Amino acid sequence: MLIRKGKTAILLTLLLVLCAPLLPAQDEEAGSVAIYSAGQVSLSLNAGMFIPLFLQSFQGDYSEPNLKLGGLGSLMVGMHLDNNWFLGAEVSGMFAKDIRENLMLMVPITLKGAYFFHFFPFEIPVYLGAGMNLMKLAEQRQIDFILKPGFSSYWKYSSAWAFGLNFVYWLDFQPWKEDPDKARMGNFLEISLSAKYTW
Amino acid sequence: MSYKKYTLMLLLLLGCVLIVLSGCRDADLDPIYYTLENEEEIVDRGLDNEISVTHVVTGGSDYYAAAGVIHKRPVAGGDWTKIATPADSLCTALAVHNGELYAGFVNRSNGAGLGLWKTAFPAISWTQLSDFATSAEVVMLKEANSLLFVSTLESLKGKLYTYSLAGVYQGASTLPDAAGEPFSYDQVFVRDVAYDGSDYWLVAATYLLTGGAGSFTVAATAGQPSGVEFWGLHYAAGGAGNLPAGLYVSTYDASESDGRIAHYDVTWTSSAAVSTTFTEFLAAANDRLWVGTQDSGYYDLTSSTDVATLFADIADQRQPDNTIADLYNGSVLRFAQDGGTIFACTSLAGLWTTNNLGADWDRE
Repeated sequence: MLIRKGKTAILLTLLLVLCAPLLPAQDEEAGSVAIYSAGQVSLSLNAGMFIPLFLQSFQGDYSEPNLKLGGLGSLMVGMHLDNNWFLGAEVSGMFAKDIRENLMLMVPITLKGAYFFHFFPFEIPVYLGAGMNLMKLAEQRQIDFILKPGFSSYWKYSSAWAFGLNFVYWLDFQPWKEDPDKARMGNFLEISLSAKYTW
Repeated sequence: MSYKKYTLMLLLLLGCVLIVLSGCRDADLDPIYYTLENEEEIVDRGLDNEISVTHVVTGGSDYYAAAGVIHKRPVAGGDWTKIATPADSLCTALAVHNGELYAGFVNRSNGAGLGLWKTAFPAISWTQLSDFATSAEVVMLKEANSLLFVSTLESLKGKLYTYSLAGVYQGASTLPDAAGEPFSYDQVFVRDVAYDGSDYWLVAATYLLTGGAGSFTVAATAGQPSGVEFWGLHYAAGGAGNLPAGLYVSTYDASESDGRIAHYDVTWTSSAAVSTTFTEFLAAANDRLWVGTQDSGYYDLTSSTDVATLFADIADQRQPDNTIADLYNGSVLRFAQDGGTIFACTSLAGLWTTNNLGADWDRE
């Protein structure tokens, strides 16, 4: 019985997390009180897993990333423009070893725009980050353009604090003018825990 | 601060950082994802990865690797095992000559030379040779034109001895300095030997010597490198599809802290300078000349047409792939070759093997 209840709870949570971005902002329709107002600042700390998915050529061919599961952390700060819109900047750092035991490092610095759906005491920000990605593997260092679409699911612990989970797709573009056949895109997934403070 | 100003400030900051950093990459290396895509796992056959391996030789159906102690493994594959060596000794040089294993040893405790030893294989039973001082420190063993050259330090002075094809002692060679006097400088010893079809060439510190077996003089060819240290030697006979004919010498200019490859065939030609110290050569294939370095892996030079082509863009010929970091940044003392198998002996980074001319490397 307990297991069934637990499964139901997990399924409901997943449904909420995955489908919430598709729903309209019901708090406004219900006429509830706005959670955020323009000018409020949020700062979030995130830490979690970096999951290598695949590499892709600009012609569409896929290949193994030859990276192991890695770790990451990030710091995001931004300002609420109103109850739903948010604009911020994020600095992340990830590490993962390749199959030759070299450490690969990435430090994406992105601007981030988000739209918050509110289901008090939960909130689901859906966002897109864009910016540069400082990378290093063995002797090579590069700077790429990166897109980071994703969403989070937060539980509002108090008016200031919220805790949640992030799902972020890292799409990193690595063109190579010296030999365009060597150009690739990196596809990765971030799953991280988050603590957010708003004032 | 209004959110418009805040947004503008963030955009400006990001733009500035992007502009400043956008040029920070090494175009001589492959892009990171392409490099990752082409990586293959490095096989490790179990030999310690932090040891210095000074020599690898093929004796019968086994490989022997000198790393202080002597390890062996079957050519067909298998584990490395230590073979017996003289009591309290460290191996400093190793060669196969006349169907026997020759080795130089020093005392493990105090570094004193223990002279030259030999044994049959695979059953190992060492015998100390008494043709020259049994307290000599053997620093080089190398075959050239079927002669075995034994370079030693005795009371810090360099000496050179030879053994014939049949393993018969031929005596000491004369090693004069520029004034015609025997080597008198401490720690100056013959580091490498090559045979050009009629004469032998030797390098010892700043000396380039040439002559018949047993009697050498300081080479005095027009335009030869001067004021540099010599390290490695290789002679190529030339011919269609082969490396350009002539003598190849690796040089190091201590005042400039850079190395060059010099080529001699009637005239001298030198490569551009590279910020490293080149070590020994290997003709890895008919038209490919490899040269080790003390801190930057090895360089792979290819040409069957002329020396200018061989030396072109030498700085870009560094090998292997930079993701094989221990070898790419390693000190490659020398190579050994057995058919299609090439060994790279390194200082403090173990022993490496390739079976496809460096496309992939595995750890022994």
